[in-house]
Amino acid sequence: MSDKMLVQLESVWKTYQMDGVRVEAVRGVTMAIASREFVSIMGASGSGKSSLLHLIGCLDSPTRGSVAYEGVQVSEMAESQLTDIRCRKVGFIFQAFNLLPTLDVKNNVMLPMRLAGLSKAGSQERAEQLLDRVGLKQRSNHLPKQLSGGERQRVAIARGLANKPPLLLADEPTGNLDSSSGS
Amino acid sequence: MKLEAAQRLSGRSGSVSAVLLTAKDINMVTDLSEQLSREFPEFDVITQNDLLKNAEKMMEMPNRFMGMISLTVLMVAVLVVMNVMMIAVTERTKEIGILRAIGAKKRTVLEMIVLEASILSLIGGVLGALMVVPAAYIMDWTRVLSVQETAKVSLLVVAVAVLASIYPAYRATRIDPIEALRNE
Repeated sequence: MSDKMLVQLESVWKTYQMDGVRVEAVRGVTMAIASREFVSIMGASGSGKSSLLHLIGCLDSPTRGSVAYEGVQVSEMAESQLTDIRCRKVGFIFQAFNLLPTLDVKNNVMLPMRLAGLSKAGSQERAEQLLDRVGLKQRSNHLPKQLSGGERQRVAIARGLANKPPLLLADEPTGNLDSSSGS
Repeated sequence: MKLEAAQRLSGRSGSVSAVLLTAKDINMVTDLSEQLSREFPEFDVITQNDLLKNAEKMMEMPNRFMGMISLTVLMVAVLVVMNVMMIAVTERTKEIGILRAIGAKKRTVLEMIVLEASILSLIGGVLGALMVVPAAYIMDWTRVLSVQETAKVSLLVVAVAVLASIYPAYRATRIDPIEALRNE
């Protein structure tokens, strides 16, 4: 596989111990994702798609095998480097949205930009643009609990795009959207 | 009162329990007391300085007692703040996990928890001071509970809260984002 790939996985395994039971969530996955490439991972519920996305997004480390981001082995990176990748280079749209319940919609979208060191005014402007794109500009001052499932998911999409990441990982991103929002 | 009358009154006729000597010169007191101790080892020789030191010790006792109470209160405050912040961290495990997952540094999480404890304790300190100062005036305790002393204590409360929040904040930085998000 080429070093120019954005992400490369080589015989990656992920095993969990859940209540004393050994669960093999990911079994020997080898794959590569190039820049601007669109990859779909399909599988039944519980087949390990989310676990695989966590590994690709430097959120988790493999039990066996190797993950490389832009040619650099993730296992050789310091914790601060992984945090930096998650902040600037990976946009994550979680299956369960994972919005911060105490922050309003706009601040949820602004958060990754503020963590990346963008100014308040700059992140506010981009958050408004993103919320406009996902059709939620009018709801920017609402709390996540005041939104429907689909609206929360759109906020999560806006947050995932906030730092213009080269890698956008979406865990069932349209599962809660209706046909018009999903397109 | 005559000596005989005092002896009769105390039921110790014919005996003397203490003799008060006055030196002609204050500089002679030490030599005189040493000489008396040597010549009369069966007696306790106590100078005015010794009495003064004893009195000072007696006066220090309430201060030490108050100091111990203050220290105990301070330790209880540390434990309370630590406990409250530990609960706050535990309750917000998922929130901290989300922050870490989207790129918050461990230092950011640490600062967030310490800052929260500082703000809460500052509010508590200011509210406490606002209640103590008028109460001190009403109770006429302004000599002990002056505005300056109250301000010092309020600042001490913030400092204690900052120190007490460091461990919960450290624990918050140890939260594994994957574990936090999995335990939804």
